[in-house]
Amino acid sequence: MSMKRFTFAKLGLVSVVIMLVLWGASSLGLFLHGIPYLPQAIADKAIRRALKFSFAQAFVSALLSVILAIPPAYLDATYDFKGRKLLKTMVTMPFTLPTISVALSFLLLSRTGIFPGGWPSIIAAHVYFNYGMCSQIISASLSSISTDVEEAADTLGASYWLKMRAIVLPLLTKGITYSFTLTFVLCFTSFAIPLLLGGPRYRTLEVEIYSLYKVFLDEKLASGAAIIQLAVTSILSIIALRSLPAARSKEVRVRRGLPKDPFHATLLVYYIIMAFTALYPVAYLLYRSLFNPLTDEFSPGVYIKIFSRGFDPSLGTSPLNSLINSLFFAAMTSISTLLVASLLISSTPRIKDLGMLISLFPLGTSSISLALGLYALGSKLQIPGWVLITSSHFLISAPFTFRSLEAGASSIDPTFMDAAETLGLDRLDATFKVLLPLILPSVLVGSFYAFVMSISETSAVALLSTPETQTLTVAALRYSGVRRFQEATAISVLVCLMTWALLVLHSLVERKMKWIRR
Amino acid sequence: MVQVKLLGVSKRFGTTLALNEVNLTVPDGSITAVVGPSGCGKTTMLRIIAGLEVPDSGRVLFDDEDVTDLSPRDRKVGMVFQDLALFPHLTVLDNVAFGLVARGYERDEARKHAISLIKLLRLDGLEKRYPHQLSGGQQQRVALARALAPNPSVLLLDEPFGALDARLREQLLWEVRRLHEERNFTAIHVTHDQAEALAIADKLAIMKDGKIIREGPSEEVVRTPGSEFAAKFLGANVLRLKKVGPFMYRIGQQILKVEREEEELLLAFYPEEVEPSEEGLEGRVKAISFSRLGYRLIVVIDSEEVEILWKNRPSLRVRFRPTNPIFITAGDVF
Repeated sequence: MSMKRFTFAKLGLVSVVIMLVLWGASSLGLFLHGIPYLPQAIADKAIRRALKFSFAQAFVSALLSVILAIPPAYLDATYDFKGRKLLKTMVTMPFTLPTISVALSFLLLSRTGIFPGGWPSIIAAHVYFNYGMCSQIISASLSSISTDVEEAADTLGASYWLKMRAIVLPLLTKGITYSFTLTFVLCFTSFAIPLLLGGPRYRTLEVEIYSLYKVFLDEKLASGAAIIQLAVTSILSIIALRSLPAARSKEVRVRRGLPKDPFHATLLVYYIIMAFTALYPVAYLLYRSLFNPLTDEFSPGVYIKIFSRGFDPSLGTSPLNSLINSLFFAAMTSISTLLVASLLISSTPRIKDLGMLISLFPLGTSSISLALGLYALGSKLQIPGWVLITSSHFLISAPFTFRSLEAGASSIDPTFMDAAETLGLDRLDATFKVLLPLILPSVLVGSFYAFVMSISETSAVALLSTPETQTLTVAALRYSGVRRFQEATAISVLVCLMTWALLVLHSLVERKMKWIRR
Repeated sequence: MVQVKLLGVSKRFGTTLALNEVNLTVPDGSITAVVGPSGCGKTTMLRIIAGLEVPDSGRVLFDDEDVTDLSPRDRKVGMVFQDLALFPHLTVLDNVAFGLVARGYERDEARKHAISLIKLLRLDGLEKRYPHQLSGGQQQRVALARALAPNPSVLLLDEPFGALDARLREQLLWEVRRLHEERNFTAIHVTHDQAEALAIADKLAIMKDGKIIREGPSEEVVRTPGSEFAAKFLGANVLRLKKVGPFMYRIGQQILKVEREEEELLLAFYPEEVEPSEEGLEGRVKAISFSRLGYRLIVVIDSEEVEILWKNRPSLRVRFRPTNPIFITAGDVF
């Protein structure tokens, strides 16, 4: 191996080591801390009840999400009409919301009596949050099935229902299974929604761990419970990854115009209703932030008031400082994930594959367990809180950011890098001067992912933050905890706006930079 | 067996007129090949016959029964798609039996029937395999068996052999011919390859810009293509002749004697239908390639290029005459 090759291989190894250390630190911290208390946690009635409830609500939420997602997915993949993309965006929008905003909105809606509080509102919020994502997955899966396959069934004399039962549904099994298991994992490890909506009676394991640690200050039992959570989420994540449909990005389905038969036309009406229903919780959140809850007067001044310097720091730091903290952690997360990902993609294929695999490990851990593990080790080694929060956000966003950069890099003809090397650049130079500029859209998309995930993340930061380091999502959680809903909703709306602004920027960047891929 | 008739069928996709008042009769029990360049509307026509598209105007008749508004399942057609569209999650046996089950056969009976077709198409031993475990040629046979299993009155072939190598394509064309003789169905074969069409079809229809410009028995269409486009599409050379006197025509600097009296005349001839002649056309050999059939020459006659097949190794200049000249005039209506 030449000296240059050895250097860039080493740099790739550095990134692998960084990830291993971070993930290992969190897992090791959790294990060292929690293993002695595992039997106690297993025997604990409240933890067992929380585990059962976590399974039950995740199962029902995932099942309903998938069932509700199939008709929009089918229509989206089969027909093309004016407004199709808008409907798709509206239906998918809830998945882009920070979970704290969804939780808060459903908490306030349940207080109006639209649906009962407790477990039904948890399931409603989970379904609202996830079914657009399920619809996207199933639609993408359907788009890779040629229209000819259905038409072949037509010419062979199959009725509509036989075609659906014997051809379309079996071909969608992978997409449906994947969306079900992914939603199950997300609902099982969901934090903000059960925390705000479940009350003391309906607690998921994630909420139970948080309460044990933050409210009852029982770190040991919390760590024991977190190991149970880790075991369950690891198994679930493996199932979800195994059901991941083969990467078939090519759309082979030919979309037709508006549906003409009455059944599909009825489904379209359902799709439109679902799309507009998706807007309601967000609109309600905005409404509640703009009107005084006691006098019902229009008071948009709350937005200026909460961000004025020194506004009510009684619940941790002021919202203005929370905003600064959120932006700081998001920027740190973006920079760190991009740097490590860049080192990794410039490395040898073997090290790159190893790094990609390790980056998936945190997917098998819930955010609360991950944060607890980092905290356990951090407190022993006296690591500052902001480092722990950034590390947790790094681990949470790494699987997505890394994949974005890797996908960009693998779409580039490798001879570009060879050409750069023959022209005198070393591999690292070639990565920064040739590869990264070529995959700029992927780099930006990756950094947006990291930024958005950090801005909207609630659970890890709720556990790791101190009053000085709390973020906007934690501030919203705290304000809603003391029933100051106008402040909480205003902060939530702001987080939503920041997230959407980034997503819009992301799609603009993707569209503007398409030429690079050609 | 049914006769298929299209009467004034038109179809528009947005601003594109895919079919423009198409009239076509496919005799019962025949194999009719519809040929034309990509985008000329031949697949659209086939999909309308199958019931997968509804025409904007015009009618589709099966033995004088109007089937225009019938769904594909009620038409008793079998179709082999361009990308085959085999059901990837079903085995060979279940793919072939699917149409029978859909038409109400008991599962066991359907499988029994499917197995006989699998044998007929020499696919025995592969019943339990999935489509991705088969070679390209085997997949084509499964698609053919699946389409034929419900015993359709009309078999529609939408360029299914395009992706195969020449040898395999030839084998499968013979297979279709054999099955056609054994099972006696009406077949419509869409292709852009005139050689493939001629190898299989009793009747030929040539399409251009959504219209059928020439149809008839294959041999008749080859002998009298009727237009410059059809002649060129069938592989003929076409030269433009200018009248210079009674029965005398000019091509470049050469004068040809032709027993026709037209102001403007097109002379068409197939590359293999030429023979050396001192009184024929003279041209400069621009390129030579060798094949089993002889030497394939590109010959420049003044500024026109023609392709001819030559038995012996040629010199730099050749003189030849078409043995079966085809004359096309503005007044010719076929």
